[in-house]
Amino acid sequence: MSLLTVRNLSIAAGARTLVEEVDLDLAEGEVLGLVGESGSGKTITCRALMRLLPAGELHIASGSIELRGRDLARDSEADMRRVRGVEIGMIFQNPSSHLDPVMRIGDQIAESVRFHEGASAQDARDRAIELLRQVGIPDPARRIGAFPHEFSGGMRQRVMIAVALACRPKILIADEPTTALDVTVQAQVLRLLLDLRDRLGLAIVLVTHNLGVVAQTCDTLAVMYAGRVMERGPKRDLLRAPAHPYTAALLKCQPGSADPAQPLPAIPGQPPSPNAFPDGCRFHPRCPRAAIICQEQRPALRAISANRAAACHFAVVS
Amino acid sequence: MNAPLPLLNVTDLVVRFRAAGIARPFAGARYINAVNGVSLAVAPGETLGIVGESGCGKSTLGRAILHLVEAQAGEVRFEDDLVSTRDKDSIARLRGQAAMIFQDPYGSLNPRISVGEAVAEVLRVHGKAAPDAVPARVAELLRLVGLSAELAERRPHQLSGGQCQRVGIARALAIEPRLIIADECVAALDVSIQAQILNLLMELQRRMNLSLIFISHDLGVVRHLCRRVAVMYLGRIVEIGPTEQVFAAPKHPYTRALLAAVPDIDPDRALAPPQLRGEPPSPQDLPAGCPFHPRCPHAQEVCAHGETPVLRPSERGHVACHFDLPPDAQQGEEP
Repeated sequence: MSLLTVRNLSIAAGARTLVEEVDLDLAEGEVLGLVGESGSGKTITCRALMRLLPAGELHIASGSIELRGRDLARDSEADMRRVRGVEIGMIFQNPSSHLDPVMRIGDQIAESVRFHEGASAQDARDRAIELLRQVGIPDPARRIGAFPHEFSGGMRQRVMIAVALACRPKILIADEPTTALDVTVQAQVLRLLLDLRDRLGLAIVLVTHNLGVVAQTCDTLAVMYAGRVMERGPKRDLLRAPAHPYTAALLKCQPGSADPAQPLPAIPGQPPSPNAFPDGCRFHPRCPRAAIICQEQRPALRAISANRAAACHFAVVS
Repeated sequence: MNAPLPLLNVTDLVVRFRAAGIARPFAGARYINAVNGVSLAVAPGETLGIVGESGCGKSTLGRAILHLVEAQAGEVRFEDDLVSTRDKDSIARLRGQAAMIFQDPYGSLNPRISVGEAVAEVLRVHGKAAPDAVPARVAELLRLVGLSAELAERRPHQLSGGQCQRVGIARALAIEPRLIIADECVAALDVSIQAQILNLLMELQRRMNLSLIFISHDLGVVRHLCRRVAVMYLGRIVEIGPTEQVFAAPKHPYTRALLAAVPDIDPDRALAPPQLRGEPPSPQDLPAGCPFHPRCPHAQEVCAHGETPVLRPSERGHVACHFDLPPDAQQGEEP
């Protein structure tokens, strides 16, 4: 059963549409990978789910975000305050800039427990210790008194996960959570996220540009390009037999998998600017399979099998 | 040695920085030990990758080779010519033949001058083109890196990250270098653009028989680009050897952990269990003995209290570990 259902979501800056017609489904215990290059709209899509778009700059132009029978796209700001942290938690790429540098980490975790649940100081403190233990911080009873600068990058990301999970949300949105971390530490944090999924039944939206991270952690994928979902479906199917030329091209230009010393099959050109999205399919200027129809008609995201969809005129399941 | 004379020879290079903050009385100044005795040689036309996690000293090593930071000990020889801070001409000669490409494509260009001017500047400083030949040479260099000559009028902010990185490469090529040191030069780029820049570097390297030192945290990129690879940890090279050998049969436990931690894009390979506990210690307080021993799954008494292991020959490469570890069972499915 779907926990979170996004339909036809569009996000605009003034009259410019940055993200268009995004459909996503997230089930309990599922890890959904939102993949794309910079500017593809994956981060603002996530922020829209939390209604954290910068006021006055970006707004949800249309679409619905259904969570337990309500539409977050239409909820009041007061209602949203009871969604953020309680129903949906969020972590970011750079934990240092999302933790308060002058507040003890125990207080940062306890803050939302006290605010949302009206817990006593003692109960909130106990919960903070328990959460730090859950995210693998050694000696949590002592460490709750520490400040963020006393932690390393990987430990700070663990603290941020503890903050995000303080009120036991069922959904965690993780925006590039390991991009700033070294690869050995990245492995630790990814393992932690999967453990939490298993233990708490957490559903995770994992935003990343790293296809390796996706391959090892996600259940389903949505590939975004220039503000639109190009393809979505189960991870294995997408990576083994991509239906969209963009997904295929992205996989081929990974240096790790290519034949060493041979030129990489690079994607020519560069992603379009949101000021000048091409007509028709937004990928057509860079697409090896582009035909006349691709310049004229924008392909809708359509089902190509029971659980896969692709936005390409020529998409077929091979 | 009968091997051809190396283009670059680095011996026992040591770089320390004075740590920020107030020195404690009587304790003396504290130092960050960025590079702790690195030796390496690069042959003409060779590609050497330097990999490691943040803080391992790989960028400092690259900068110290070009004398962009001062080394406290050790020597750098370029074509057997000793490069020394006491001899400014030797540094000028080195920088006339060895260029650097940096990570941040915008940050390494002056935002107030056009990119054509940025390339022309290099030509003028190094006297690589007669004044009236400069515009033609700029256009030629831009074409060489795949930019149209009309872009010469643009400022960096009017270009994309990938285009700026191409300008950075054009600037490096302007001196007609024999060695290029590229420091994380594709890390800031999206993967589709990254592939374009890697292809460009590979093509230029081959066509001009350039030597390339490619510093990166991305093992996949290094595997693709470099014939030889050096793995650094806390300012030391812990393993160096032919790329295919180091990736297929890593000898040092750190190399093994690093390779195992890289998420594979094969969806049927499950996330490997984390091989290492904790994170690299601060280069301010280097552990005694082997610097890797606090995180090493194979550490023994001698690793904590014995001598720091130095590079010794192992198959076709060199490894700095007291032990000959058996082939790693955990990496059984690695090709």
